[in-house]
Amino acid sequence: MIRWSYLLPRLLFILVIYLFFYFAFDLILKRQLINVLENVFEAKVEIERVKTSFINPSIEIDNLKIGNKDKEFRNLFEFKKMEFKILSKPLFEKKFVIERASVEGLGFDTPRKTSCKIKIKKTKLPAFLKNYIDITSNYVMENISEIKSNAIDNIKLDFENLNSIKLLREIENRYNNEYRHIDEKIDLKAYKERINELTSKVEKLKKEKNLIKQLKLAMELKKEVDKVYKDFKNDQRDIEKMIEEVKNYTSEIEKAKREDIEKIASILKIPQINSKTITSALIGNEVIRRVNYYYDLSQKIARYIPDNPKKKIFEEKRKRGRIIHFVKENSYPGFWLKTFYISGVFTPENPLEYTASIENITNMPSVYKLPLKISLYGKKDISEVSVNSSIYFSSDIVRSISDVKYNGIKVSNVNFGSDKLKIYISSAIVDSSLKIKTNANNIDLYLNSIFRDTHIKPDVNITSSKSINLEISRLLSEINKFYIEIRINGEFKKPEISFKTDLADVLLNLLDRAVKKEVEGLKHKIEEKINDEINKNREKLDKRLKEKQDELKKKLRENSDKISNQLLTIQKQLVENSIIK
Amino acid sequence: MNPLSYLRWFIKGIVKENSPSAIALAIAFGFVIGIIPKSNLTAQSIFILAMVIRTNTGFLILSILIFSFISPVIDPLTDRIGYFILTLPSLNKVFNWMYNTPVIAWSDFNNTVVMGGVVVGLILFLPVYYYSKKFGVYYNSFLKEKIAKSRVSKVLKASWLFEWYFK
Repeated sequence: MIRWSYLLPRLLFILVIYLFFYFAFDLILKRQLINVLENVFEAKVEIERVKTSFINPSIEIDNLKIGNKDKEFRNLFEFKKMEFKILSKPLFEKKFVIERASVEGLGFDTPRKTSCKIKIKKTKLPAFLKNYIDITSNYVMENISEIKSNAIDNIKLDFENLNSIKLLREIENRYNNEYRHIDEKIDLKAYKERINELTSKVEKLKKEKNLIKQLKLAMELKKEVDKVYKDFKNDQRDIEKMIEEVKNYTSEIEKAKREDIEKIASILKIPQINSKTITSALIGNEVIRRVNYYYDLSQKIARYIPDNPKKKIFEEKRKRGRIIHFVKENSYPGFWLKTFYISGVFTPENPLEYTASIENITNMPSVYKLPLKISLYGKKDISEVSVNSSIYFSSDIVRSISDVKYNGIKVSNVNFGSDKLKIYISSAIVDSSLKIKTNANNIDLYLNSIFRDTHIKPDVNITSSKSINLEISRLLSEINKFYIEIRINGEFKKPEISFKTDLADVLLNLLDRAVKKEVEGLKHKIEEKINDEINKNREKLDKRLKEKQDELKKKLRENSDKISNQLLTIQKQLVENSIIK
Repeated sequence: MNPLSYLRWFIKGIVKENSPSAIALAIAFGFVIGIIPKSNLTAQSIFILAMVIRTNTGFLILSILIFSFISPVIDPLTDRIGYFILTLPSLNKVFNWMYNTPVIAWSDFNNTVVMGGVVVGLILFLPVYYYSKKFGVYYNSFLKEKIAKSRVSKVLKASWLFEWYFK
């Protein structure tokens, strides 16, 4: 009765599948994991062993090492063992529920014997960061030593392309248009029509035989004449005001001139010496590099966050029939990691042991309205690290609050600055606090790091004077405490980034004394040249505008006289004919 | 499963020597599968059962196609019957247990058309079987030879691909 020709191939197929999972699946999964992680971290990833079990569903990963793409012989992090135990019952509902997962021996910035560089397509720098890179590199340190006091004398300025000169032309066109409009108004055509109407009404009034009717019409006409006269006077005043109005374009020109000066200064490679630009030059590149790294990482993570989790749950594609729901005892989301325990040693340099936990990692947060919580704590002697983060996915808009503190953390071999001014910190103790708030697409991040007990080895070559370079070097090496503040806020895709450090103030004072006078002198020379050109053009413009104003005033006077006379004549006619006495 | 396999089974089932009871069983199973939605464990299980026991594959596939084609006409009836059964207070506990039991939940038993279709299918299984058996006798006596000698069968049998595939 049983059709073995149907049954046997299928049983054989099941056996092959089982053998595949038993012998090959772990290897394939390991390879896939390495591929995915290498794409995310852009560095070599090593995994010693991946073991999966389907009878008691679990995944174990041993000795995972993820290289640091910026430090060839360091690992970004590594761990000894990671374990996931999956609940088998929800698996039959295609749901992955992990009651408990754990990572042991998680350490950061650990050394590695082999290089972690790999050939991988690098991610593009986002536009808003590229903009910041341009700002930070468009400075200073590279150019201070190149300042030449006669730089401006040796170049020929293309005045036609200066913003201020272009603006003067624009202003002339703008005013010509305005005067054309005034010219049309001066014509007073509307009043001519109204006066003609009044004249014809007066003629009609004269012919009226009925005295009472005539009186009534005369009263109305008088009112009309008064109104026309009043309107006319108002318009005349307005037009006069428009003509006389002092066209104040000085501030506009001044603004354009400042832009021109900066533009020429940048062509001549004259540095801007102020706190903001020095800060950018000192720490800008480092900050942007790190922001780019975390931005890129967050973008990759964001791909796994469901944009509208509710949609997934309540979506039911049924073409036929109705679905009757019964009471669900345990409603699990598609993926749910209840608690993920992590323990390890922070870094080889800061060997403080810590424990951490991540709760409620799920792809359907509206099933369990609990926030994703991350907490970490570690302490050893004076060093202390704590992380507290809550991310609310179940609310209408995703929001999060994170608070990271680390005190007494040893750092070494930190570099700031560029080729002409390198600040190498051989060792320091850092106290940092980081607060991040996100609300839908907006981010507000504030980081304050205090470097204390610093040993700074500066390499200064920013001015052409050796003695000034040595002086800057001496003062920088005497610094044993400084701070860095970073604020990132605004829309997540193009936030505003600002940074501050008191190291910049030290440098500013020194550079002020050393080169500011020279820089200001050069800028003054540029300003003089631009002023000469502006004044030439401005004189012409003012002359043309004055001529136009006079012409309009004359025309207005003539037309006004004509209208006034006509109105007076009408009033006289009304009186002479004794209509109104 | 590829479409050529279905075609192979279908032709084989139609032209091979088959008992009337195998034809009747195939039509009865095809009727049950045909009137319920297919993308669930219930339909798949019934199909596997029908394939494992010696039913006539050709007639099974043919009847699934025919009854699937007319299922929109039967759907309003099976929907009502299914809704009535699924909302019976006395069965609520059973359905609640099924709803919370892994694998069974994949059977789509809580779909009114699936539930109604299975019930209608079970009720009509024996009558369909009985009349199909009579049809099986008639088919073996009169129709089978005609179909075997038909142009379509000859063309298919003559094609080298068909021959090669049937080896």
